Amino acid sequence: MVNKKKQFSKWLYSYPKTFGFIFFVIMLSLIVFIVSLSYKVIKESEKREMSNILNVVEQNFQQILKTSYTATLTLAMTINDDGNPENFNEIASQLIDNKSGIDAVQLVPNGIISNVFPLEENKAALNYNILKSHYNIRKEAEKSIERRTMYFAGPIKLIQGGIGVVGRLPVYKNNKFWGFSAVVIKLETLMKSSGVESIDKSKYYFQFSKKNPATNKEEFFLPSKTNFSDYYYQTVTISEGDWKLYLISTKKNTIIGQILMSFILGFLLSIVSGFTVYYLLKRPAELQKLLKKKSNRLVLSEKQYRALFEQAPVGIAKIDSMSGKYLDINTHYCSILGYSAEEMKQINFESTIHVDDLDVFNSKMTQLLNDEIMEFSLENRFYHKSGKIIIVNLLVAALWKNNSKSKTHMTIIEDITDKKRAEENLKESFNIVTEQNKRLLNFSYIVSHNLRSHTSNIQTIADFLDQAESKEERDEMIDLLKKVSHSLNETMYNLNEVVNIRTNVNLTIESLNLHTYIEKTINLLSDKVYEKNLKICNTVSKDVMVNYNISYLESILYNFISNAIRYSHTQKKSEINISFDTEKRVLKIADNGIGIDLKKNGDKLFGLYKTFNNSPESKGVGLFISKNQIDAMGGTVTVESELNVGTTFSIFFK
Amino acid sequence: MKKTICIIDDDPIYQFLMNKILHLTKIDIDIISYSNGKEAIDSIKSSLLDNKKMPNIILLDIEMPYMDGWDFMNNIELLMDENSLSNIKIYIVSSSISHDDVEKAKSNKNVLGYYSKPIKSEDITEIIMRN
Repeated sequence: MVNKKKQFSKWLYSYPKTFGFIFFVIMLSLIVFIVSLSYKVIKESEKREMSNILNVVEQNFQQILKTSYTATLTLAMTINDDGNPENFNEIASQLIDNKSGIDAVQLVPNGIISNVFPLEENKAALNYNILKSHYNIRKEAEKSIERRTMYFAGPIKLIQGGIGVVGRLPVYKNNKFWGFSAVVIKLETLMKSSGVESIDKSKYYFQFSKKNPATNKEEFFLPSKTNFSDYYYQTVTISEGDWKLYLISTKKNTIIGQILMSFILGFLLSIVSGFTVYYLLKRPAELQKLLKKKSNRLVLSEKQYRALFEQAPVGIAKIDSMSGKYLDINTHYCSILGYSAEEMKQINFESTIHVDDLDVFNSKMTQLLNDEIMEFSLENRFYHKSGKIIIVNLLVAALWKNNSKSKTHMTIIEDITDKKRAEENLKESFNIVTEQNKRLLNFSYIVSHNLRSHTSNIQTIADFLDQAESKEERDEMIDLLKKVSHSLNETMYNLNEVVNIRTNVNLTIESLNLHTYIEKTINLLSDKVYEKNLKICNTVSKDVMVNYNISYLESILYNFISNAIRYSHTQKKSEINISFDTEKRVLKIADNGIGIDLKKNGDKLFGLYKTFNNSPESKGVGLFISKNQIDAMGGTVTVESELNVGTTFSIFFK
Repeated sequence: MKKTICIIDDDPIYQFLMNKILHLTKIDIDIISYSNGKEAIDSIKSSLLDNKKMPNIILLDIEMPYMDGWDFMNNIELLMDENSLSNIKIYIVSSSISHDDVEKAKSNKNVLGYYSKPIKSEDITEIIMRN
């Protein structure tokens, strides 16, 4: 039903011009109908009014005629059997006095006016023979005789003066025509008594006519217009005088004019209405058009947005801020985390964040929910579906406006795992290269320094040799030269060692019994142990095996144990404890010797000390070589020490 | 009064050769040798306590175990300030030709000269004569 209504209005709005025109036609027809109806009503009421007026006037006429008839009859009564009137004047005066609208009465025996009243005004008519008068008068008098009833002649010009009508009643005595009993009514009086003059002259007027008996032409007796064929009129015929009484409308075009005015107004109204309908229907159509255009644009923009959302090279998701549920998610987001879109909607956002990054994320999220910030970005670790950890650039932006109840936010993630790894690798490589550069520079410095200290000695000795005066002196110098040569050799050997660790790539690694190798080393150093009177305690279990290169293990153990012996305290009983933590796989070599000021020398301890001449106290290259060997075997070495308390080296095995 | 020259260097051959050079110059001077900074500073401290003679000239090496030349400088400067020892003249004699070391020596007001090894007999004579 609603649909039909909608369809109808849609159809209506589609043809505004057609419906405007249809409305115009309907309106015009309606107006024409109303106008014609009102025309008829006006016309009808006019007719009725005229007919009423005419009716009244006719009645008045009839009244006059009746009075006249009575008067003539009364007069006729005055005629005695001899045919002579008796008491004429007396009776006639009574008739005239009665205000009957009769101007004079006559008795006309054999057509000759014998008696007349009032006599004075009508003297001129006395003895006038009407039957021998001119044609018109005679003819009309004869009509009375013919009809044997009263007939009115005229209006005619009266002998006694003025215009009037004469009503004649033929009187018979003994079945023989005696003459006429007549009344004279002046036209003026007739019109007055008939009420013709009392009408509203602006609307109607009367005309009074009679056919001329001689010419048979209609003659009009009133001073008003006689040519009124264009006007509306009504007429009534009074047979007693062959008169015709006309009631004529004064305004020819009144009704037509009124109708025309209404019609024109109606026509204009129809045009205006038609246009209004057209305009009213056009507006929704225009609005609908605009709406369609806008909605098309909206659809397009939605399509573009969707394409952008779906094809973006980053993961985008809309998330319910309260529950952490995914509301909308793009393909890239799913592929970054390894889930399908359906699976994603089942899991909670926070469950994909790495546990260690949750606190930072949650504190930022709290700020966002409290409207303190509108967005934030973090570098977060996420769990991939497979369980592996991925690193992403995370951007979270609130999608709500202040104080809104429902809160959702947008999350954009970008997988930077590979980038990050590459960065780390690069950083590591950079560190290695920097470290190597530093070492190389240091090494070249050491080479230069150590060789220079020997060459300077050789130069000095050579100078002395030149200046030597005795053989003893020369021999002494040559002995000295031998010592320098020995030191130089040692230096060269040490330098070679350092170079070797750096060039050894394919080392043989074997499973070695740690306890046995420690014992071997202690044996090698037994002289010094004895000399310093110290106690070495090897608590390493006999079944501990390590995968190591033999010469590296020997060198490392020798270096650390001999160091511990070398820096033993002179004022107390020295002890060296060698132990192994099987769980952490760490070998600890602890002494109670003089200790090292780590604050001052910590950074230099495993560095290539700048001198390694053959001074017995020189720790020089030993620790440097050991550290490099441990590193090469995939382990590490750390040191703890306190001055005058002792030093513990911890060597971690892989 | 006889002057005392102090040689601080961990190379025994160098120490020996310096002694020899000083003997050959025939200058009447006392020679004390230390193989590192720590040995030297300890000895100077004990001499101060015993009110013994202080060295007039010190020839100092940089690269040494236990306490290198620069650490020795820090210690001796402290000692000089505490005991108003203004008459100890310190010269650096090192096989290092490192730019850093040379600059560091120049900027230290208590280091009067920097010589790279081998130091010539004339230079030593000049140093002793000057002081």
